[in-house]
Amino acid sequence: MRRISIFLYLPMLLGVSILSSPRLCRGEVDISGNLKLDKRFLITDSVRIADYPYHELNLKLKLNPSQNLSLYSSLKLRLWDQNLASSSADLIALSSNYPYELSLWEAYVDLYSFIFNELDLRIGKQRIAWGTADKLNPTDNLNPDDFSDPLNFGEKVPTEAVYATYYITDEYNLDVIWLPLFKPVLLPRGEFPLFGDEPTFPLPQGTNLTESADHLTFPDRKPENSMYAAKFSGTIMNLDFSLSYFRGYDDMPITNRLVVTPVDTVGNVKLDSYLGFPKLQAVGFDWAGELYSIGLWGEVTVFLPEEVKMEIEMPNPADPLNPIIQDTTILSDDPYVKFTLGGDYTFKNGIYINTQWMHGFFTERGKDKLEDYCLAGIEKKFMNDEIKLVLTGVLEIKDLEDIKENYGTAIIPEVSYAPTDNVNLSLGVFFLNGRLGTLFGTWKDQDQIYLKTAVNF
Amino acid sequence: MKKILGIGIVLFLPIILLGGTPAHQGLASGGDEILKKAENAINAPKDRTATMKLTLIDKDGDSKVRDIKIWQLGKEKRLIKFLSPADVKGVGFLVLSDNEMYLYMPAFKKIRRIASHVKNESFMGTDFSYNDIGKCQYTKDFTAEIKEETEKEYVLELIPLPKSDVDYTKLIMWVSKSNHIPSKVEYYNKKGTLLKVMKNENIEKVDGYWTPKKIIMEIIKTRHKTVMELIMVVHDTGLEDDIFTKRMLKRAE
Repeated sequence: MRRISIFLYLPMLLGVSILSSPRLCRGEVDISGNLKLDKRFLITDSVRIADYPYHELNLKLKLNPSQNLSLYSSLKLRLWDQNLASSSADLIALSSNYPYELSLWEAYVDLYSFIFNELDLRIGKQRIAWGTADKLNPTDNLNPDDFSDPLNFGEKVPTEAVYATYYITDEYNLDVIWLPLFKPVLLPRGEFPLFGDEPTFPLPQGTNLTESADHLTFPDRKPENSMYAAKFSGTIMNLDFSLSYFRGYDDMPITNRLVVTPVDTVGNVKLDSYLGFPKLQAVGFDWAGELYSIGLWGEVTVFLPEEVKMEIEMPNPADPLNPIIQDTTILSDDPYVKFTLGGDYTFKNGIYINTQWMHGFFTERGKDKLEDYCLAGIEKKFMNDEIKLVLTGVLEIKDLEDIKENYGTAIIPEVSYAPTDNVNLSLGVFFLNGRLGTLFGTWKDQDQIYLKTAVNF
Repeated sequence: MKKILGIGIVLFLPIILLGGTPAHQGLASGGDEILKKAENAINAPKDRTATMKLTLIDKDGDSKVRDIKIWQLGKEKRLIKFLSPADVKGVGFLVLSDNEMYLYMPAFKKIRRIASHVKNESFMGTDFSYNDIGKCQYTKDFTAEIKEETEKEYVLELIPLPKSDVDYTKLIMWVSKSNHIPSKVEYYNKKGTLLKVMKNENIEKVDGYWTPKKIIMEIIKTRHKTVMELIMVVHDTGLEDDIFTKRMLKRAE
């Protein structure tokens, strides 16, 4: 039987105890949630249904047994529209035709005024959302990325943590976080070229790759491999700001060893890739304010990565007992900077615009490997806010000195309709294009129409 | 910073939010004096805690309901939590001053600062703007003249002060002689067109303060209106500054 982490066990135990003890249970259990349905039609060449989107049911429970105690948990059920059956034997399993995943997405306890009146504590599996920008947050590094839906940027997976906030004054506070266990990125199901063009290396002459496998190595489950973070936040002259520090691991694996092994005598070879998670430190600063009624925000993070060298081991035709070994630096320890600058404004006719400049996409890392993205969105509501039209455009710039040959574009028109409270229907299109080697260029076969339904309860 | 639409609505929203006036004030001779009395009436209680039902009604009579809870201290500080419906439940709104407002969206686990350009927009789909919800002082933006006087009411015309940057050319306000609670206000844009009308109804004494139990705000062009009904209210319970913080915005229930 798997051991349950104390960080999940504590909220669950407290929850059961409180629910079974009417004397303690001052408040009622608050149950809420939502159902999200998502269907995508890829429209490049012929129309077909994308396999990586999923439907989602979220069930949330909240309880406030006393003024200084709160419990929260959420269950997430994801259902993919994929057929996993590969033989008739698989057809006996519901999960082959309707693959699903159930997750205790969040489960935490809030202890307000813990020991000191100014100290709040949150213990358990939680989403820690940092940053002032609109979804494009380079300071938001404590939870791993959730790329399950690769076109829904900025999603994260909650992780176990102890989060302490000390309120120095009403305007200044210090957050200190301990994340005992490292958790990696969540990748999309199905085929999606998430990372754009990946680096390749030449196989020895006369060889033919017939098999490949990859192997993940996680940091040891030791206290010294825990992750830590701290943030100081405040408001000065109507400007909100925070200064943050994170010490942990990059949630995206990186290859640190490749082994090419002959599988026969006619040149067929097998490739084994070994991937690890480099150590990472990040120093961030974010702010939000306004100038002449225009909302403005910015985030910048200096990443201090661990150097990663990749060892390539290949067969040596001249001496089969002594393979050829090469070393190459795949991630430099040079610091690199990601940032987002943005602003928004609502005109008197109700048109809302939002624009952001982002340096360094979620999947990019390393000095000289970061691209620039300029996003602009325009939005207008009609019919008492029941209908909303949104047009979003993104310009990817891989090389500022030669934009003409190094750009990509994403255009996303969307109409949404809220026929009644708690229900929202949206219909939109992703048009993706770009030059060879750009991220959007790699995604150009992912043009798609989407139809989403969301119901809250 | 723009103090656009709704600055006038705020003349009366605070009556609900802070309670009414003790019913023993004398008559005033000048318009500004009456306006000042109305402002004092609006800001009479030290603090207030209330739950309200907001019914949004369109021109065809179709309606939607929102329930909110509100805490208020002094003239400026407010904390509002949406209790229903499900898609806005848990959304919080904190007003610390005229130009410092925050919105908490539980779905994103994030507090977001509200810039001035949003203040003129509909507050969560109602006919009240963020500015309406956020402000409760108006003598610094308007000067008033008595246009008419009846047995029970003064009719004031409010004109923006030169330094004010409100978007209205005028407000017409009906102020009760007995309690100085405005019963009706009309808002006119720069073309002189009537934009919206607010009415205070069912004015009763609660904890010694005259308090409208119902406020109706109607947008003339769309014929859409919001009816705000007071479900529960208590005054002067000793709310303190530490309620009106980002810390409480996230956790307030």
